[in-house]
Amino acid sequence: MAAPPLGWRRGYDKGMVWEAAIGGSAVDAPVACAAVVAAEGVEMTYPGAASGAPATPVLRGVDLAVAAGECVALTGPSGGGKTTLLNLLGGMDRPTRGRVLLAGQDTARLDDAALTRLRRRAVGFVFQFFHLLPALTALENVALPLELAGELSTAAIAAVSREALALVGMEEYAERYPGRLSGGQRQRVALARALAPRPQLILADEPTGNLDRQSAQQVMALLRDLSRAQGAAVVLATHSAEAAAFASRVLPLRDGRLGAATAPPRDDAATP
Amino acid sequence: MARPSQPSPSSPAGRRRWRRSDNGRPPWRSDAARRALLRALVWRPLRQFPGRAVASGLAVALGIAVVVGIRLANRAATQSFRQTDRALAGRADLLVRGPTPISASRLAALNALGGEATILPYIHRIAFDPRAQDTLELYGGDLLAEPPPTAAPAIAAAASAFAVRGGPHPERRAGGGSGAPGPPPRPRGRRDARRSRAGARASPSSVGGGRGPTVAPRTSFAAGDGHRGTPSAPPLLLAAAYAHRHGYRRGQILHLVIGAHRLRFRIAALLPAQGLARAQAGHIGVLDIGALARLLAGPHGHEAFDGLAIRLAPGVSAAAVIARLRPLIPADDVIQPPAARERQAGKMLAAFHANLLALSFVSLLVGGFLIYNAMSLAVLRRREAIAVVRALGAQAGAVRRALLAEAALLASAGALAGLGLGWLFARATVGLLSATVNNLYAVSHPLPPRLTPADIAWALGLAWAVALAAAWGPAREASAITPAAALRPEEPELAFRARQPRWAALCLGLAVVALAAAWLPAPYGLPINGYLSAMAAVFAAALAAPLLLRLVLPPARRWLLHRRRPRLALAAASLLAAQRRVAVLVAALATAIAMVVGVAAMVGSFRQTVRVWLGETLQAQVYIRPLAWSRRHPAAIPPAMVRRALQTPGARRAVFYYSAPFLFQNQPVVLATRWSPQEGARRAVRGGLHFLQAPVAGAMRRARVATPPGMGRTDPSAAPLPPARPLLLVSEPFARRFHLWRGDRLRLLTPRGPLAARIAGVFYDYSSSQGILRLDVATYRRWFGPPPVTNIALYAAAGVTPARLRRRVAVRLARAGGAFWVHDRASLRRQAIAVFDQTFRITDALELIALIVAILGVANTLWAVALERRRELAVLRFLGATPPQVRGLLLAEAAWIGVFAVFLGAVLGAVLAVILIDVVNVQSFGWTIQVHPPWAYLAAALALLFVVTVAAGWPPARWAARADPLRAVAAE
Repeated sequence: MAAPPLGWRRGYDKGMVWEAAIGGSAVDAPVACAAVVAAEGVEMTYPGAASGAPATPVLRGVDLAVAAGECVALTGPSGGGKTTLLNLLGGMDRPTRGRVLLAGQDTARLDDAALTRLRRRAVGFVFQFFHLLPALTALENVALPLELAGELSTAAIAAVSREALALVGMEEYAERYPGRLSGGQRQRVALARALAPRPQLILADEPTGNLDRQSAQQVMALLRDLSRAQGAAVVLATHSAEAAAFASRVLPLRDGRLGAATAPPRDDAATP
Repeated sequence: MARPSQPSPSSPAGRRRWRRSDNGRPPWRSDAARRALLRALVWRPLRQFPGRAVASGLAVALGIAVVVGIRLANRAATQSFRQTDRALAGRADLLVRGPTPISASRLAALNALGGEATILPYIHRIAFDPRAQDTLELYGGDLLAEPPPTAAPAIAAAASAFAVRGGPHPERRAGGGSGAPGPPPRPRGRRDARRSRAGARASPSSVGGGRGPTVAPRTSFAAGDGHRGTPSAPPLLLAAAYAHRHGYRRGQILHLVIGAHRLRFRIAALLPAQGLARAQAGHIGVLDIGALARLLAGPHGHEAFDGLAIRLAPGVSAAAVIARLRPLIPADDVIQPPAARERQAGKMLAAFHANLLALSFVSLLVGGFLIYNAMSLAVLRRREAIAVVRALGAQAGAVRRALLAEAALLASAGALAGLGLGWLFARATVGLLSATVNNLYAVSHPLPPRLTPADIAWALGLAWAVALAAAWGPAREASAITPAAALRPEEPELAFRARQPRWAALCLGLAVVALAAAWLPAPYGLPINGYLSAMAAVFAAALAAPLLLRLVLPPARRWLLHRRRPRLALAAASLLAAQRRVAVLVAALATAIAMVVGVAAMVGSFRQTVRVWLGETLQAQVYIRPLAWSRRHPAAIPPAMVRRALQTPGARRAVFYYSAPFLFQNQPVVLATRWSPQEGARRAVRGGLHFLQAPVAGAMRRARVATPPGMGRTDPSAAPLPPARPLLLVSEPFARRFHLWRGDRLRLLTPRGPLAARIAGVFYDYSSSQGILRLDVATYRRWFGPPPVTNIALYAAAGVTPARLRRRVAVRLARAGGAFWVHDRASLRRQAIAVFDQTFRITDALELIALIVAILGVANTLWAVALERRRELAVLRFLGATPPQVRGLLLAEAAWIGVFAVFLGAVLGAVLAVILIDVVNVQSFGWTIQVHPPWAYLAAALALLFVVTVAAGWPPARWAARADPLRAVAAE
């Protein structure tokens, strides 16, 4: 990872400044309250690729509720339905059965435009492959959700975006294109992009899957601390026990079924 | 970072402060979001791959260039007629014209109109300028009395110059010279002219006769008869543009051929480029009508005019004048406002122009396919970006609009470039178009094409329409998929495959539409349903492309693997994996190829049909017609010249033709007759014809009439024949145009009243799309008077070669002062085929451009494919593939695309050829074309197109082979 620990720490400090500005604390866990997102008896089946091919059930009766400030890790083997569940929780897809309540609204009852508005307002995404737009600089990538929301002036968007980049220690790379950043740096930019609009829910799909151990821990720590500071719920899909150690709750997902919650594996780096 | 001095904009308090409006919709909201989307999805990606944008823009530019070019050239050709007609009509409210010239003696009858209208005869002829090898339109009119508005000052100035200097030939004003009666004294101004015209109303019996009161076509300038050998030359006002083009000066003698007459004129003045002098790109000469009438009549002939321009007195209604005029003029003369004549000229060329425009749209259609392909590729390439912005909260509609905006942007850039190219294309093609119009319809000297704001708006609108229609599918698809699905790489192809059954049904539906539209009649005489049929066939083929890929590639791949052709098999697999973009590419290329095949098959068949037809109809050895001749203004061969031609040693037999413009149901057609001293009228009239519906035997038995008395070898226009039942034959275009076939009755308006006749037969004809009515000469004489000879066909005596007879005839006629085209059969056939080839040269240009657009698309798409697959190709390199093998793989893909496109293009081309031959052509021109595809040409063209397609894959293949695999993999 290109960014030194000092830089990350500095970014973290900037996070304190930001939190101070909104009157919260960067380290104190917020009090859990009503669920930001909830899945009730959710089932998801993908149709067969060819006509006549059997449909593939991916999720079978999943129940889940995540409160504000909580960090839930979904673990399990590939093909277990983790990404599908994240997509459903984030309103990127609609369940075949059951319902998903995002910020109190049933996603299945919303039309595409309303769902998009809800997603814009309530959800931030962090992907395994970063999915930064290669044609935009780091700063522009972070600014994009704010611009799409259209609620701030151009100057405000620039200021918020720079702050978000500063929080993740990427301020000096603001004008760089993703192609010229390392994997860890890209993921930190992606994290800044997810956090900048201050969503209620952050969905992270294998956020450390493409990172080395050190970068992975830095990213996870940032994700945990900044989401807590914002009071956002985090749902994390991961194979990594180290990443899961940052969660407050770990839920195994196998063959589309959610197992009982387990305590996160102990990891010193994950301890706040 | 220092603590901000104001609340952070990301805090709730800060947001409230930074927010400029709390009314729910901040003023910048939509703009900022739109800008962000455009930047993320359009601007930056375009900047990253400018080559793709340039190629797409160029495809639109070429398509627009062709359409705009043809539009401008079409308009230039039509405008030349319109301008001429307008300038000729001047301020006239009505025009009277008939199938035959209006005799000066008829003017007396028009006195009945009194002061309700001013009647001004005019003459309009085509003259050939042998020195400049150019044609000139000559107008004879009462210029001082009623000059064309903008030309009036020049004419007045010229007249006054003549007046001051006493005119070029004062002795002629006194009525001297060559036995022709002199004109009345030239008036000094408009008042005199009007007075003179008033005199004409009193007694218009002696145009140029010098006896009694003068008539409306009073000679304003001194005039000589201008015949060969006469010392004087009548004054001519020549358009300055023509004079400058050919180096003529004022005062110079100008030799012109009108009909078969060689005449001399003195250039009295140069007309500036205004009004009439601007018409026909300045190929204009103006004469006093008296002088011109006498020149054309000859020393002993009757003066006649081509038409009458009528200007109504204030408060007089046109309907009232028409009602009073109708009984005074021959029944076959037409009275109509000048605009109606303009409309007729427009109608005459409508089908021709519509066909050219339709062909030009093929390039735009191909461009549309490529836009579709470019946008599909863009959507595929930006799927991740689209998914991300959708996940981040961009609405589906906003994504769609952003992509459509990109298409509109490309279209705008392409349209602007296309306008310039189109103007250049129009400049290059207007000459070709004009030559075709000259050959098929009437003499035309189009003005240089001009781009107007309306053209710019039209081109932009068209480009947007095509680009937005082409981009709509990809844009809609991009916005319709959910962000989660968009992040799955295999999703688009899966969706594409899932749609294939639906597309197969649509393909079948379109094929049915194509078939049904081909059977529908042509509304407004335009082959709109033919175009609809062709369009449906093109889209059906486009939808068949993915089905074809899906059908052929899997078994082909297995077979190739079995035959140990791994590269071709891998290429087949790659194409199958990307069948969506490959299918669009194949469809685009196949459309262009189909156009080449379809048009080539149609033109080749048409050419062969015309060759066969010429062989059947041109049976004489030598053909003669006046040098200055056009379909609108056929000139008669003077009887003396006819006799000279017949007396040529070696001429065994002669056949005479007369053909002239005629109005049937107020539509321009050609009225013709054919006769021979050696044949009966009824037998002669069907000579040289090949019948679609031959006259029945009974009709011909009744037609067995003895050789008419007086039709001697030296007197072709003999005494009238005894009354007999008219024998009327019509050409196929006439039959199709008016839906009148063998056995149908029709009514012709003749100078002696309406002639009712039954159509005895329908013959093939490829010389006139307006249609020909051919009457036996006996009937013609009875109803129209003796026909002048406009063409002569001579048969050579035994032992005399056609070339020798042609030389002899040419020399004899030239020695007598005649100016004629004399052709032997072979040279006439050569000339006819040359005219044919020239007519279709413009379609060659259109085909070529459509192909360039398609090839551009192939190169563009293969580049995109190579770029997208650089990692996959790099992996191949890691697995041991050599650079030549990678290059070979991409070339093999190009070859596959070429095979599919050539196959589909050939099949679609065959369908288009049938539609062009049996539907569009028949509906446009009424010609039956026998199917004679030029097989060798088509095979060579298809082979060449395949090679060019593979060659288009060479640059990207070379680039891919040279790419550094390490960098390509690292780019991940």
